Amino acid sequence: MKNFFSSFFLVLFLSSFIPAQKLSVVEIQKITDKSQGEFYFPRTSPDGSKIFFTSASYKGLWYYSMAEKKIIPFASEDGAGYEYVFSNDKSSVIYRASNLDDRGLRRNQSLIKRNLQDLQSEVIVTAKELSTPKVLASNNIAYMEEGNVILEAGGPHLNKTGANDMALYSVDGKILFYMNGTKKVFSPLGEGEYIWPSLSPDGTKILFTEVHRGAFISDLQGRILASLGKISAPNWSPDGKWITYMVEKDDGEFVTGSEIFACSSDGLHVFQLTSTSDVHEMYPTWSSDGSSILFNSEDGNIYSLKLKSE
Amino acid sequence: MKKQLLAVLFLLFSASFLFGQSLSGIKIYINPGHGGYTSNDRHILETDYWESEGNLTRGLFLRDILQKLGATVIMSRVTNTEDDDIQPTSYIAARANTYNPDYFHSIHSNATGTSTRVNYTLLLFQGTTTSPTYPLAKTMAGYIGNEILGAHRTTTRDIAGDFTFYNSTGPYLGVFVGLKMPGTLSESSFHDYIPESWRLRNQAYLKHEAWAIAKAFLAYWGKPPLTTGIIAGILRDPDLGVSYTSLTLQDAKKPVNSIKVTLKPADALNTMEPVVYEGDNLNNGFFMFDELTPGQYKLYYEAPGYFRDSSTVTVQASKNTFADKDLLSTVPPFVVSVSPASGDSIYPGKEDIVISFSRAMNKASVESAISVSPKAPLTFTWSSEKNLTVATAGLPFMTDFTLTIGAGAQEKSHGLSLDGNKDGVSGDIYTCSFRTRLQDLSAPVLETVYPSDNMENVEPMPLINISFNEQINTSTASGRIKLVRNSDQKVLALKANYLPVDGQKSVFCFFPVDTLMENESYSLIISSGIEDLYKNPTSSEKVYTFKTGSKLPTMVYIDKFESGFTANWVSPLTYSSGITSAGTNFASSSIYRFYGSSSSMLINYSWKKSASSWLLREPLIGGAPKNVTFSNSGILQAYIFGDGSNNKFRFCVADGSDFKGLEVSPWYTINWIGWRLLSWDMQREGTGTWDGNTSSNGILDGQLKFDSFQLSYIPGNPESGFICLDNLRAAKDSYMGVEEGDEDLRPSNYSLAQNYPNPFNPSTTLSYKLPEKSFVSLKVFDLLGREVATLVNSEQGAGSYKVEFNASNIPSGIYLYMLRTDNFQETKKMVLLK
Repeated sequence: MKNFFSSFFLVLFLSSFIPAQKLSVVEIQKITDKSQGEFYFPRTSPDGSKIFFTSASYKGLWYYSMAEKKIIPFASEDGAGYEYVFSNDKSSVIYRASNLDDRGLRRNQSLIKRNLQDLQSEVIVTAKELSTPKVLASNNIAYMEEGNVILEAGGPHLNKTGANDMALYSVDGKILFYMNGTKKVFSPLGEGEYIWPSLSPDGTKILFTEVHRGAFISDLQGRILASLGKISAPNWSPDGKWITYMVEKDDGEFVTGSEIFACSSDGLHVFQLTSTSDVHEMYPTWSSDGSSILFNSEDGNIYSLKLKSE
Repeated sequence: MKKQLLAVLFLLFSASFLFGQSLSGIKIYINPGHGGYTSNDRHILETDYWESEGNLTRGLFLRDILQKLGATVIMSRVTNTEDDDIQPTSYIAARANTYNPDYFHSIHSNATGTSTRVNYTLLLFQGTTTSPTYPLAKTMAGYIGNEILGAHRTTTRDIAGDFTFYNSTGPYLGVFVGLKMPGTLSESSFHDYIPESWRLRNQAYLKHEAWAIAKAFLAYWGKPPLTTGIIAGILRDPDLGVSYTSLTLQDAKKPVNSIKVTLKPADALNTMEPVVYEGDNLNNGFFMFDELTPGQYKLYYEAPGYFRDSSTVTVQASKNTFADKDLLSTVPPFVVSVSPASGDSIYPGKEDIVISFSRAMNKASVESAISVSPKAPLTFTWSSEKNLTVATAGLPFMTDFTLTIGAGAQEKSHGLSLDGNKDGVSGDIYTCSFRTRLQDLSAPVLETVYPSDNMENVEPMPLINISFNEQINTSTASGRIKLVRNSDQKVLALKANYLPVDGQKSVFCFFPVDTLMENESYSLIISSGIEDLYKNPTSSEKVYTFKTGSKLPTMVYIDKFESGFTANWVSPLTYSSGITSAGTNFASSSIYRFYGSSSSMLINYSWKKSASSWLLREPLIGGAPKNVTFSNSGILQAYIFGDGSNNKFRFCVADGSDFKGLEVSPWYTINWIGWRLLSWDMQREGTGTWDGNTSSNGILDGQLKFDSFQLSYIPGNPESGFICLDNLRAAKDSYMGVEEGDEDLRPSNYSLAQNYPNPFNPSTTLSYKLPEKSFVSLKVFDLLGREVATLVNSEQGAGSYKVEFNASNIPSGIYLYMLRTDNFQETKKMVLLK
């Protein structure tokens, strides 16, 4: 089986630079097969013991237990798999659930905190429209209600604002940057449509994508540090040195290919990690220890790509 | 100005009265597909339609309607610049997600990208058709599909999951990937179907589609339907056709430009001011009135050059009421054509006079206005209101006639008199002259027969070809053409095919049902009594005796010229000289098809008489046929339908290192009509010469590949004509590798090679080796393990084998092929990319 997959995925190195560090693929392992269920958007738990994933519609959450080597259902709500977060103490998953009527219309949304051990759930808040949750450095859970205000500190779940609390929200094509109790629209390129914002693990840089101009890394003041080009769904490595992302080919309508890449966080050294004409590899994220990249194929298999850096 | 103001006021009144806020609180994301004016924005040259532009217009209309219904609408773009063309498509879904909408809809129109013309409505959603990512998206696809089908009156509507529609291996629709709400994509109609493409340029037509989608949203969320209705329609000229392909009788009529349609309430007491629609000049004839209170209305149609017309229609809430109208031209009727043409001749009683008018005619007025001089009795039959047949049985042979249609002939609707000289003014006569021919009292004459008398070494499955100098009453040939084995006088069954050629000559092609015996004498007996179309019978029996030879070696087919073959051949205009481009082309022919085949390659040729040399080269350029190799010592064959022109034909093959050399066969004179098997015995006949071609040295070096068919002209022969080709093949010889028992070359191991080419379309070659005799199964499966084809299922000896897999009937995707023998099994993957 291993041989099959190592030959199945060709590995290419594409770089015109001599990188300080080089990434190469050791092996690609299929974690789940679509015959077990079609799963998408994989992420590891903070301790690396579980690989979480959801359905194509983000309904429900499952994880693959590395120890038990089996798939375990974790949550079933609509939208649970979209931009969920782990608590800082690694004990819980906090996600947004949409409560829909039978015609798919949203009645309201709830933020739910669900314990990884005993699967006990707490509803943090329910409102007509909520943002997805964020966990701040101070352990606060922050969210926006109906697009208006970042709420923090208060109630049993939200403690007082910490000095280094920062969060990025992607709302109506804009990035809202919450920092130390204030929020502002973060537009490092000026007018535009911004998606996929994320803070670097050390909290000093912001990775974002503007749909007309591609992906960039800036500092917290919005000064551009690196331009990464027209890449999709970029993600920081846990040490902040690397970005993984996908590169799609389409004709404006049909996607005809997608491959996984990684680049150094200065954008200078680019490595193509997959190259297959028949499998579209998508939505990569790093494992918690940075040794692997998880991704899904378009037909719902989850893979783990083990890396070697030298 | 006053009317326009009143029209606006009327619409405002309707809107305020009829619009509720039924979609209040609902957030909808609209994505007009593509953006800008570049190569991926789907431009139709003939109509100057840009899909990117049409998608945006529909999107903006939809936005306005949904907002009036109370919805919050987010547009992915509101302009049509290259900056609006968001790529990669995952950006579109990610961007929609940031707005947290309840629904996503992407607006497109469709195209086949081929010469095929269709016009149906397609709605797509993510997932498979039976297992959509969002089940509600499939529900919505049904609503939108039905509404667009109803508004645009496309032929059908189809809904499908994108994984099913494009196959599970992709491509798939990028806008659905990562989308966190139900989403659909409408391909409303086909913008490369030219009548539809013109309609898509009409703003009201695009708005009509927006209404259709808005109605689907109301149904989807269980909201009350619209309380207003729509009147739409197309004005056409029933007497003028269109130059492009039309799928319906309606689309075959020319739409009227610059129309003006006035809407009034049918109730005379209703004080509503008339509403005026003024159409464009973009060949669609479309009009629409929306937001109409249910009730009866009168429509008045006007256009320059047409009689005014009207109709009464009833509007129902939330419905489309169509009021198409054929407007009649004010141009007087004229004669479009007469057969025979002036100065031509006819055979009385066999060929009639056929008159075609530009307009539907008053039949009685026409019949009383027609006469011939010298006077003779005429009888009339109308095949339609515009087409009259005048029987000629009463006309004497060998006589000059003048046909006159008097000005009393009138068109049906408004009584306009005939415009005989076609100057746009009624009231003049039409005349033409023709001659009746000499009475045919001659029997049909046999021109060529194959196999000819006393011919030897005839192949055991001969194509018997009998041509006559005129057309035959085929029923009189039944039972009068026989093939007899002379040793026992057994009459052998034949399969027959009869074809008239060039409207004069004709040919019978026969195959024996069973292969003839080798080295045996046979007689082809053509009995007397075979009649031409004028009942003149042949008077004598003809007997052609021939002797068969030995069986031919096994052949490998290079091209059978079945469906899709033209993709592998290039136009004869590309590498030819001494031809006229207007009359030279190639195509698939289903008329001149070889017996048992569904198509053949037709080459029409037209020589430029003034040229000093003439060479038509029809090259094979790619696909599986281009990969077939064959021995330089074998036979190359093709069935060729000759036109009896006595022009020349030859084969050309590629040889030498990397097949860069070119060698030709000797020229063969096309002195037959109908199908004939033409063979180039390369070893015995050697090569011909290709003057001036440095790639040709006259020696067939090593293995060969097919290069081209070639034709040339001999001055004095017909300057134009055609040939058809079918079943191009070569002697198997060394092609199939090692025969059983050839110990020296027997493979040492089992192996299954990667298919070639890969990816492929539609055929590919699978190769495998057997070191020993074994039962062999070679099957093709899809990724779900379903068997798609069994290519081999029999015992085979040691050797190397190649099997062609033709996938023309299965969709694109990844397939597995598995070789299984008594002691070996291996599976490989191949990609079909159509």
